[in-house]
Amino acid sequence: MTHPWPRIRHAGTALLLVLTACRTITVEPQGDALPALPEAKRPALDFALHVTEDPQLWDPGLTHLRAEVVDGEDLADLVPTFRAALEATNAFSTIRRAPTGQRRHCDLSVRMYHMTPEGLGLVITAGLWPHVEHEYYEVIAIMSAPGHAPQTYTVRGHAETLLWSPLIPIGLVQWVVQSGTLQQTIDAFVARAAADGWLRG
Amino acid sequence: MVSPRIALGLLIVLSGCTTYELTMIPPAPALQPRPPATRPDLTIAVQSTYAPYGDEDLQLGDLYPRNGRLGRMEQNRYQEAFAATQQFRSVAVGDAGNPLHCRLVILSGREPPTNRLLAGLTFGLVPTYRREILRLDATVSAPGRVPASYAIEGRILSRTQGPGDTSQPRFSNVPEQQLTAALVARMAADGWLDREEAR
Repeated sequence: MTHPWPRIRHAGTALLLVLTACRTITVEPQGDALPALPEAKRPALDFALHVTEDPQLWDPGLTHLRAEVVDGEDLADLVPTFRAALEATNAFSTIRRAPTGQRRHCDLSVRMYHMTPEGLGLVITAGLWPHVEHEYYEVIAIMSAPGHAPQTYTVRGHAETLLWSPLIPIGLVQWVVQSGTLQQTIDAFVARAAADGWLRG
Repeated sequence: MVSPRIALGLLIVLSGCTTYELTMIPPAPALQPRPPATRPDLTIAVQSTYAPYGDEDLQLGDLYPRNGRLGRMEQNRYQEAFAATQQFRSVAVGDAGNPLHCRLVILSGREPPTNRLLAGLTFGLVPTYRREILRLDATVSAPGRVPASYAIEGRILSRTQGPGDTSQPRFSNVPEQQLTAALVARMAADGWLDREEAR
């Protein structure tokens, strides 16, 4: 009997590819390519994170839905995600959450919103009805360092994913949809900061 | 005759519950009933912060203020907890002023649940445990009196059994109510709840 794992793996990869192909990520403004810094030349970075969930990123007319500050343990849960996104740029030697001090510092104010369709509709149609998921990030980053005037960068990322997901576990769909957009947004900001000389020792 | 599968399902659902074991430091005096006519008005201000739990203590170098949705929830939770002591005529959120005022500074954090994988694989038949620390620092003030401070720490062990997402925040407010009752008992013992005309 043939072992089913290789077939399952191939089917899973194909599904991921299909889902990824149905996704459009837009980042504005587009940055240059990320610099390839040798490890020895990468600076350390401290960062602070402030996050707001704001439905008006999806529809500015939604004035009845107010923005919510993400706080406490909810914010603590997001910190590793943002730290990982900064680490994945391969532009910094060490990254830690800390207030402005003696090191290069980045104050990240993030507005974000994930627009997902109603779960009930998905359940009723078993995912057979195609739908579009939207993911928005607006990152306002203030770079500062001792002896340098602070500089502000604004980057917006938006992902639009067409989903037609019969029989795909919803967790897998969410993972595919929500990976990549934040990374590309952070990449664009770091590339601009690098172009302005913020990564020079 | 009930089939074994249905019986197992019923057992899992019926056993689904969370219990709490609260250790209070210092131990609290008993709260005496207070006749409605002698209850004072109270205003409270709540400032709450999350500290990650590690090495059996709160990690004070990594703090996250609850200044948004969770902060509002904490404020409501403690307003209800003070009201539930049945020692006050009214409990309102406000600044220090004419009535009795309590400024509450809260620091709390909880560890991730243990046994999550095992609990998931057994559909909750194996319980998960979570430890949590809740520190209350209260400053009580009233016109014409020197403010007093009270500190209470609660160490909570939650035991959850049954299906459900154990990573979710604690649903029950019982530990907060018990800690608040302990705080109010100490305030009462120091005469803070005696109304102006009675003093």
